[in-house]
Amino acid sequence: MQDLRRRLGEADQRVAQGGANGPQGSLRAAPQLVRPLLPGTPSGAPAGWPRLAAPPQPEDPQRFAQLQAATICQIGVGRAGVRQRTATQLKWLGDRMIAVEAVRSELPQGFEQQIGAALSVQTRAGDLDEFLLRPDLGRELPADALSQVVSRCASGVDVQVLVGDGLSARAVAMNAPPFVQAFRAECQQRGLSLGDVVLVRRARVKVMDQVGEALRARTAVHLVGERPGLGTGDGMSAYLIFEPRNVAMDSDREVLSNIHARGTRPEEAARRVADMLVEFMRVGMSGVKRQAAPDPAERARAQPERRRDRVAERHTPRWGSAGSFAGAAPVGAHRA
Amino acid sequence: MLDPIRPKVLATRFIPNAPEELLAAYGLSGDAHPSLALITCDQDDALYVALDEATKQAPVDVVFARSLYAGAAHASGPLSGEILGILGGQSPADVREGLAACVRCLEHDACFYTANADGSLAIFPHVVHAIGSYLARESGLEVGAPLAYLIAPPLEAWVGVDAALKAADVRLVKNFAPPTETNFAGAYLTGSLEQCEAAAVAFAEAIVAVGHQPRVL
Repeated sequence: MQDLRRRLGEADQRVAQGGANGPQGSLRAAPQLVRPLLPGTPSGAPAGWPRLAAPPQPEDPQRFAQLQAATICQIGVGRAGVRQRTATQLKWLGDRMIAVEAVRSELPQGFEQQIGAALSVQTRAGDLDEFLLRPDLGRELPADALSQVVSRCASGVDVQVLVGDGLSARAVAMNAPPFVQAFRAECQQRGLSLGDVVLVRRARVKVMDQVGEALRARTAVHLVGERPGLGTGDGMSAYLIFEPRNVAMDSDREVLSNIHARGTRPEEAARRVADMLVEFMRVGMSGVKRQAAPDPAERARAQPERRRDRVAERHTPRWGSAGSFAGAAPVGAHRA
Repeated sequence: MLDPIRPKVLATRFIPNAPEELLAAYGLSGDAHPSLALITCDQDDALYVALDEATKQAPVDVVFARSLYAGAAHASGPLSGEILGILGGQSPADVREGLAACVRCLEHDACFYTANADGSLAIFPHVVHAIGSYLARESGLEVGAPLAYLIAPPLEAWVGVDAALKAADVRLVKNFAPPTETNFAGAYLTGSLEQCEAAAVAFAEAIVAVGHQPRVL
């Protein structure tokens, strides 16, 4: 409009200077104001008209609706002026509360029985607030709890399973029981000896190293509730390690994340975890070391049951395969 | 000459949740547009453009927009002006943002211009760079198309639109023949953005010449 106003001003001046030339005179002046067409611009109906941001104008509304339906993220929601729409804001608040409530959830009474745990211990973190504020306390069992574990659990087993609440007890309460049940069968099938399941309250991932070392387990699996995100509080991860030892680092671990109803189902996850552990023991390592094995033939062998994995992927919802979490190497990475 | 004549917003009101029977009387539905924003203004064409601007800035529709008979100089009341516009949306916040965009457009963009020395001749040589859903519906063009929105009194409109069509590579999309509610006339033209601007300039220039010398015989 600024430009038009400037040019209107020019026209104004021209008329004033030219005197009473009448319409003829002004028409002669007009073509000088017209710039030539841009090359390639078709006359009359120019292509590539600007698309407007609000409301969204998808080129393919059906595909757009599919994308929106494929995720609980709020995408293509448009705007009202320079801010979010009320519905978007309300859903955001609701999604945030789902995350907050998941962080503040506790494991239900009698959960030990549900997962068939031999015993239940608590890390050095006291209440939930201390657990959230002091990650270091959640990585270690106090001495008496550790001696309980040693005295009551089988040692020297192939697989030691820990179930910890992590940052979402709700996720563990929902997904650990079916996982553990399926995992027992998967281990039996593969001839893996499974140790006693230990329930750890106020647990961070690394506590698996301490317990695994104390019990001299060959591998360890730690089921923990994932840090909730907007609208999600039900994701569980399985952290896996070969030879759990206190000196282990996150790069020694691998993880299968997004174990939940919309992601990898617990039963499917149990099968994949068992496959991974068999592979760990075969190659004698886990984590980045294993995935970055220099020998390509070795690396090819390190991909267990490729055909079955592809079948599994077909049955796994879009975002549910595997992802990186807390520095551990994601299970899927070695396929990339 | 060619000075902007700023439109005056006369009254605005929100209806957060309009009654179904009142909506139905206007051919609307409470499911689609329960929340309304009403605005009156003393320049009908400036408000049409501003209402369209609102559809670009917020998820609202122009659910009602009509010029009132005889124009702002003969209004039915001090707040009637020459147009009533209504934006409809799904929430009060949506129509509030829509109306805010509408008022911004009236304050800073769309307006009539004087086309003679004493300012008694008013013309509307406006270019919309990219039309929203309302002007798309009114013009039959696609959302995002450039539009030259050219309005003047009847004879001046003929002369101006003639000059615009001859001076620029544009086509006539819709014509407004007199008499209209306000007895103005004009046309929607489209083409590339720069051709629309050239058309608007030619339109204004031709009418300035008419104002300068009304009679040639």
